Amino acid sequence: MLYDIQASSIEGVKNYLSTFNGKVTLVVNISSKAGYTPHCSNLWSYARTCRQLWQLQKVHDEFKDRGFSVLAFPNNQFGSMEPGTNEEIKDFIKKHYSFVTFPIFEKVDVNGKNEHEVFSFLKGLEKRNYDDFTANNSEEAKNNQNLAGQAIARISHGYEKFLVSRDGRMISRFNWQDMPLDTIPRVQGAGWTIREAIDEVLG
Amino acid sequence: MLGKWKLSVNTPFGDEIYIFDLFSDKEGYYGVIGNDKGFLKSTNIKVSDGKFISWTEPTKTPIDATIKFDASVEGNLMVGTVKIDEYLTVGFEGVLE
Repeated sequence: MLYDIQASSIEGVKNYLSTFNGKVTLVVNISSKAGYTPHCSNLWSYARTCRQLWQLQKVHDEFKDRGFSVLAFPNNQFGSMEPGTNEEIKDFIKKHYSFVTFPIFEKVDVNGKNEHEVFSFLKGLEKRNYDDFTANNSEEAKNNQNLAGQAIARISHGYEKFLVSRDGRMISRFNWQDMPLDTIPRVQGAGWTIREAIDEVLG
Repeated sequence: MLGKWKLSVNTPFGDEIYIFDLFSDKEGYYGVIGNDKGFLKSTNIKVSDGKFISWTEPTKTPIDATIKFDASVEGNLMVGTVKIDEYLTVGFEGVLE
């Protein structure tokens, strides 16, 4: 289960993830400079990041008294939007997203040969075929493929979200466009919004 | 206060220049703001005492939001804040060109 996996807080507290055993959690790969690309303005890049973190904080606050927490893992694999060290990330978030109080973990990889076990677990452990941009049969591609199978489960963007039950099972996955405060499912047929899913799993 | 303002919006990702073109007629104030990434029509422009100005920019892309500018004006200088919905506030300065 998820909570058996070793993961440290951004402050370096070892085995921090285990302290959430018994809670429903929403695991998110964040980047504090999301949207920071040449084709998007600085203001809108900052707004997009603020909006994600703000809405995550809102659901954290709404459900925390029922045994829920957002768990954020900084990640730099999508457009170098999280280039700093753990210390720099922590300071940047504290300064520019001062509303954030949900737990933040160490910076990790979410895809590839160095991906953290948390994300191997969340994406599913079985090996699958896939044909994303790394699967071109080159040695580099093979080396970068997760041995346990990223496959179609590969994370494709920052702010993908994984809902985990109190006993550490992955229940539901939401992509970056699924906003925490959405009132209708963004993907047709998905069945539930993030808030509905959290409420249901909390029981 | 009327004319072309060069605004520098201070974001954590770096300052960003916008041009705010403010004009008026007998019906009221009008404006557009933007840069090489695109322009938006300003709405709800309010000027008081010739010293304060506020305006909004409702947007649908890249995200559905309302940007609100509030500033005090002294001569050809403007200083204020930009707010996007309830989650973002940054400062800006402007110079009348």
